[in-house]
Amino acid sequence: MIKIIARKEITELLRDGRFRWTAMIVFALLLASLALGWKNYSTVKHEQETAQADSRKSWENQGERNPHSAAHFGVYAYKPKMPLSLIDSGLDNFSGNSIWVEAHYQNPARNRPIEDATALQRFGELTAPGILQLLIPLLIIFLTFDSFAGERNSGTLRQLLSLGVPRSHLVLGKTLGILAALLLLVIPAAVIGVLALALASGNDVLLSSVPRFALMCAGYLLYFIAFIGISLTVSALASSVRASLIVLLAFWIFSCLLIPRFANDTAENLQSIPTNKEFWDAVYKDMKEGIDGHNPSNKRTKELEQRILAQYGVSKTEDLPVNFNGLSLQASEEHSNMLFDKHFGNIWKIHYAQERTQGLFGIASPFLPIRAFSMGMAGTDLRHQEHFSNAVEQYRREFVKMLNLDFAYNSKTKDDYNYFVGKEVWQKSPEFTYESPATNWALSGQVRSLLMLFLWCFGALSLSVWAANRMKAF
Amino acid sequence: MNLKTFLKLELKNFLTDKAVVAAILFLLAAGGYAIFHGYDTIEKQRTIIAQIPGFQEEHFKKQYELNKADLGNLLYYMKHGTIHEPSSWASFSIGQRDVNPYNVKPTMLTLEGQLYESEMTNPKNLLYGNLDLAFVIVFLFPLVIIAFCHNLISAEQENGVWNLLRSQPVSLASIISWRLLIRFGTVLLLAFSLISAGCVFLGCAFDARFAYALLIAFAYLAFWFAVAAFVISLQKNSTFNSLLLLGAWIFLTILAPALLNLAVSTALPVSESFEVSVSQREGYHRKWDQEKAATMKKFYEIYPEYSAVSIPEDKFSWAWYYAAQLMGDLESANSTEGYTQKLQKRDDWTNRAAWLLPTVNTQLSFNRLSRTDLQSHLNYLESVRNHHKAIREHFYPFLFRNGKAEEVDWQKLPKHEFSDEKMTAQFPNSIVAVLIFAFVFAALATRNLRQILR
Repeated sequence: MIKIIARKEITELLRDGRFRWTAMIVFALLLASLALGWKNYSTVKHEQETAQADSRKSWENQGERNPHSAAHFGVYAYKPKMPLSLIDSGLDNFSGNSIWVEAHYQNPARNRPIEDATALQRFGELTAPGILQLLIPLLIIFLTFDSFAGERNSGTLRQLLSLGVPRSHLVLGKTLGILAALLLLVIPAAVIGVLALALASGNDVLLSSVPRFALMCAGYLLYFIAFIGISLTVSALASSVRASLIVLLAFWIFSCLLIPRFANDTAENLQSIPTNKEFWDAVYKDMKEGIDGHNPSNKRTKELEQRILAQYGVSKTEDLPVNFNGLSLQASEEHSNMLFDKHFGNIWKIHYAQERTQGLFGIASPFLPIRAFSMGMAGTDLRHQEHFSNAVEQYRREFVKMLNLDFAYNSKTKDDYNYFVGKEVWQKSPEFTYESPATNWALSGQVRSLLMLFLWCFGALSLSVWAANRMKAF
Repeated sequence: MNLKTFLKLELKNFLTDKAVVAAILFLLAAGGYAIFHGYDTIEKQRTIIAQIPGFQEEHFKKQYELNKADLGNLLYYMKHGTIHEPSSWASFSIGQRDVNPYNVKPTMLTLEGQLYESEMTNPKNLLYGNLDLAFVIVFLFPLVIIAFCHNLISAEQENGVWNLLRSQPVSLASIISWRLLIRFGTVLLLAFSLISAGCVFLGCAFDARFAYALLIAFAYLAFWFAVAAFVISLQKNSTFNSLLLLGAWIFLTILAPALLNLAVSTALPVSESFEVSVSQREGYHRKWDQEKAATMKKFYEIYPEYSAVSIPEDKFSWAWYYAAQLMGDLESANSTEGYTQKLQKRDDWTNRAAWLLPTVNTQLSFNRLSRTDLQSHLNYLESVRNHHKAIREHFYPFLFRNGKAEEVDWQKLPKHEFSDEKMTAQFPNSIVAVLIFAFVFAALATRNLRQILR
């Protein structure tokens, strides 16, 4: 019986001009957004790769220089575009995409594309997720708000029920029918998405993106079912077609426009991020006085001096076979590394706390969990941003250490800073490579949103069955 | 039944409708929250800004004590705070103020890399944008207008009251226009009260900007009423009307701006943003490997008054060091200028296209009024560049004669001055386009209605 109802629903939908037109518009938009996403992806990928290569080239060709002043010159690390960002660019436009790697300091990511944008950016973006998350729910609402009321008016509802069709079958059949009609629209788009992905990147990238892409699709499926369930529920309970439409639209406005903004503000007000000044003051203070005020920097240098002197059995730094300045630089580097772990770690902690607060609002809005889940799978969420920034920091530490140790062990002259090295050292220095995290890792950060989506999906379905059991047949 | 009784009845019917009351309460709640959010966001920025003069003084004192023995070294550390104070209208429309840096503190070193140091923000918090009063007016008011108007004629037809109305002495045309006017009046009153309440609570100056804000809101709301009137004049059923109006809303608030954004950013890509940071860094660092005389020669081209000073080739000197720093900025000048021009072009094209899109037009007009637009940020950055120049020129004479920190006239240190508030508010020209659209739709609606009602 479910099958028959589903088939009837889908044939009706496909005959309905309303569906054909809106579906065609949505499909065209999806294609356009994929094409533009693909173009943007290839452009940025190219720019990023060129910039990364240029940075390395200018590093290797910097000429003769003292290793430590070279470490001040530094290099840039650019964030590689994640392959699936061509589908969901997530936070890419709002977070920094390059980090300056230099001696002494961990730098935050800079160069946020949003800074180059006009106020238009804030109206929202025409990306595939924008369409899937905002417009398809609207399409669902337009297709289903008169679902039961329509059958009621035409009398078919009464007939069906008098035939003894269980009401739950009626609801599930309708759900399946609408879902199938939607999939006719979404699956071709998904196939084209995969093709775009294949065109934009190599086979290995494509293969590694497939599980992420499949999960992403599953998330959207749950989201669509949730909206269908809610629409059918309202349609079954509403006193009139008009009331049903108004309630559903109000739900859409709250869920997709208002609650996300409200969730943001609440999260920001509950957990606030220190200002730049507060942040760097705390870092400098710790640098000078040592973590927690113990072990101030002059005391640290003295201790190091004594240890090194004892190690080499000499009484003055001038008599050391190594360059004490280089060792001292590396020691202070290692001390500040602990500070950066603490202070930058703290910023990330606040970011995640804010994200969790926002996530709680997912109970009132299915839009929030799908937004988070989709960009989590695309690799454009906060965690991936942190992953990149940690990888760069790890690289910075190796990079600076190599230069400091070269300075310490190879410059036995007294005139330290006149120790110059050239290309052979620059070429030996590590190069920045970034490996994007595995699917498991990405999924482990999105367990909450996935649960929330399941909750919405099954909650909405059960609600619609319950509502169908309560509705009047005429 | 004369007109007065009719109006009384209509008004009573309208205002006692539960849906209408709910919609009004919704707008009031959203507006109230928007005012609070605008206040909160800008107040946080004001708190940070208010601390800057104190920090600046403390910072100067501290650095002076630590490094007064060596002026060059002192200047290396000394930061010169600049402020982009939010205008008194900023809370009304936050615009790009949550994104752009507003308290750049450059030292005398190469400037370009120091201009983009914004406060740390959670990128996820920027994703959805702000729920400020401008958002409520641009996004939410049209929805309520749609809800109020979509069944103006059709409801009566569907209820069967239509024929009853036709038999009344009051003409149908005037019934419909009065109904529209009642709704327009109510919505306008709501919008104006929210703007006025916002003004009082947010401390916006009651100057020309207040009048302009009311004018912009009036034009925008009139536009939506005209569109709604046009749609109902097509005489379709309520559902069709609501779907058509919602389609228009989605197109104008979501699709069209996003398409325009894509078009603008694809046509004008800013690859320069990658270049600027790299080229200024190289411009300066290269100088260490070059002959000092070569660097100085370029410097003297700009500042010939110092050419008499001899710079030792084999020894470090601060005069050379700061000259080399300046070269960093000069050598990145091409990419910097290219970058700024691209941003300017993006802004120009957006403003031009906005004439066709009342939603974008209104939002941009509000941002411009509140000085939270891109232009205002670009102006601020320009003022920081000028300030940096003034600071450098203040210290060059001392650096070039190896002066001591005590010789510097610290009292006369150039002060950074930039105030959006002092600029005269400009008449929101582009809003004329919204009024024209409103007029066209209203005319079409009137024509249609006349034909039907004859």
